[in-house]
Amino acid sequence: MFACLYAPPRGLAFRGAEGVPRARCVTDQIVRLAREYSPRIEIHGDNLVVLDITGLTSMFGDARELGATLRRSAADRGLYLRMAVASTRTAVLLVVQERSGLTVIEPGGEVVTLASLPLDVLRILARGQAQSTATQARRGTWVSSAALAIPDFALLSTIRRWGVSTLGDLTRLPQAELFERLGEGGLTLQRFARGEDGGPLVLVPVEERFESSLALEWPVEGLEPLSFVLSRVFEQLCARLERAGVGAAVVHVHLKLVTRTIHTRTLQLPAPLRDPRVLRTLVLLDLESHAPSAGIDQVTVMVDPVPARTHQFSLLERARPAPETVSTLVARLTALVGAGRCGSPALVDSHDRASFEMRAFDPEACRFDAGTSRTRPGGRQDRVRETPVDGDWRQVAGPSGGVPLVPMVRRFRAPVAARVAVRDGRLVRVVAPPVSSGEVIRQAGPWRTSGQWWTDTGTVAADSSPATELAGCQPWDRDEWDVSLTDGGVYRIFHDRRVDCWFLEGMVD
Amino acid sequence: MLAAATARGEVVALIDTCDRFDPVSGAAAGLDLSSLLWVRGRERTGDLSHTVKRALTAAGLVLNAGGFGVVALDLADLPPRATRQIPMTTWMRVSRLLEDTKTVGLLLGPKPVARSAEGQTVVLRPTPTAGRWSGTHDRNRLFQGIECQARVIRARRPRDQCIILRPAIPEPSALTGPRPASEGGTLTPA
Repeated sequence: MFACLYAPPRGLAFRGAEGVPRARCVTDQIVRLAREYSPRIEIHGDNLVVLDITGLTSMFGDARELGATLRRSAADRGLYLRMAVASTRTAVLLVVQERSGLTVIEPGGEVVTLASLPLDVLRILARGQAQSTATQARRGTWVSSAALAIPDFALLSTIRRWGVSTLGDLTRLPQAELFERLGEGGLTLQRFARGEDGGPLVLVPVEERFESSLALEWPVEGLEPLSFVLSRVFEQLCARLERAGVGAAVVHVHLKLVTRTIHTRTLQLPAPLRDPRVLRTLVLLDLESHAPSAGIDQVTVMVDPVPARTHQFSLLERARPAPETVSTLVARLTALVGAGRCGSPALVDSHDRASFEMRAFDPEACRFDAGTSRTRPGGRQDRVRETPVDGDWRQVAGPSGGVPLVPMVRRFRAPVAARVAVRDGRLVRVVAPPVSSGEVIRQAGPWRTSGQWWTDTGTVAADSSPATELAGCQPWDRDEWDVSLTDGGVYRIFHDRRVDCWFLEGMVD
Repeated sequence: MLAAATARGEVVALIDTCDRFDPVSGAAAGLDLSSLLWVRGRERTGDLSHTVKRALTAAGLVLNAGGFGVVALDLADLPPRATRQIPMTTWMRVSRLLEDTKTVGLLLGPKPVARSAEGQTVVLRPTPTAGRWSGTHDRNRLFQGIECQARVIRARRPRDQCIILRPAIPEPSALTGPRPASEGGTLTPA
């Protein structure tokens, strides 16, 4: 047995309280109503849903009582629908196109009931299906586009020119002559007119909700016993994720505490994961830094699913840590060193050489760059071929024996205040905590740089230090020198012109 | 080494104990920053043993994860007494983590602090004329790099090998760039 729920485009279901046409959310309401009665439903467009009600008569009575129950449920939701109940899907689809209210067709009575319907119901149904298919494709939702293979409209026009005006007239045409003139399409139209189904019900898959909850007999305090609870929850959840072929993109953890409050944590994962141990570890690491304030009565975990990650490994690529491993590693390191102190550095568009930003470490993002030829900023190709073998650095060098060495600056993140003696415009002596002997042997400079002066809102206090400023966001105005001192080191120092003080920026390594 | 590893398509990790790494210099040296996992410690304040312990824990986590081409632990800015207090079993544990893997463990320190059967120790010392400068006057002088001596120390090697890491003086036409310090040098065997 099949039932059909139909909201005509100009019917009351598409009108709001003020007479304003409502959006296509009517379809969602019809789908929800149908799912309350049967998991086997087929959507034919924005306003047409067929549900399989086989076996429901033992719960709701006969077909007429079931139809009345459906109609009352729809009326309770503010929906005024056309409904039909019949033993074939085609029959209910055709009947609701023409008759309002509830129509119940007893088994075997489809031909008689459909005989009085005009031939245009086939055209209306076919046109509605075609429009709905295009609309649903644009909206990205699911639709059973091939549920009813109604032949071309040209056949209907031909049949109408023969003087056939109702479905009953069409069923009475002899099959042999109809096939000779219209081919297989003519016979298909005749089967539709008799209410016969051309194929099985094309079901809409149920959108699974990935949620798992566990109520505890005794409150849990501490993360160690909670880890066992989370293991059990995530094992069930990940098994369902694996069956559905999806992974977790966001994990929502709701902990119901003994104080009747809900402790909620949300984890954004860098890649779809469905390994229960990884997910449990990530949640525990997050709860270490955001611990609940009381004992836990109930644990609920919800997951936002996304299609699982598929990756084709290559024999030509270097092995890299898996995203699951990286997620756990970064979470552990963040718990160890603090947020914002673990990741990949990225240069910012600034002349301030101390400015940079921290980004999430994502080895997958740079996978496609791997193996390509790297070019140094000066345009020279990197000639490094291999790492040293047996301590012989000559194996590092390229054929020409020259490997560019670029001096690295070991930067003091908070510049060290220094005392600098200047005589006749030359730097003579530098005294700072890391410098043992401060006589200047050679110097190069100054190079004057300034920036972010447009963000300077007030005067600079005399005792302010660049150590307290956030690099890249605060104004700066400085003269830089490279100096070689008698202790053998080469340092980069600068004179902050805003506060008229000297600072040690770093040492060249 | 980190730049060479990222050029080969590997991902690398740097455990920066005292937060001394300069991303601008690293990028100028050819290091692909997106392939670098940078774990930043704190400046040298307070209890140094806690700082060292945290850095070693971070290094252990990275080595345990696997998949990295080079894992560098930078202890160079710590005083020697702080690195001497690290028990030798720590380095044995690190060498065990590196066994049967393709990961290179790189330890930077003020003094040789760790030894292993398969490891090598390279001592870098600046030469008496360490800084390499171009130009003849303060106003046109440019810093080119540091010349230092690299000595490979290894128990099984019959004699030490010594090379000089010497920066190259760029051509005058190359001195018109924005900053001379990033122009590089040349590794020349002595």
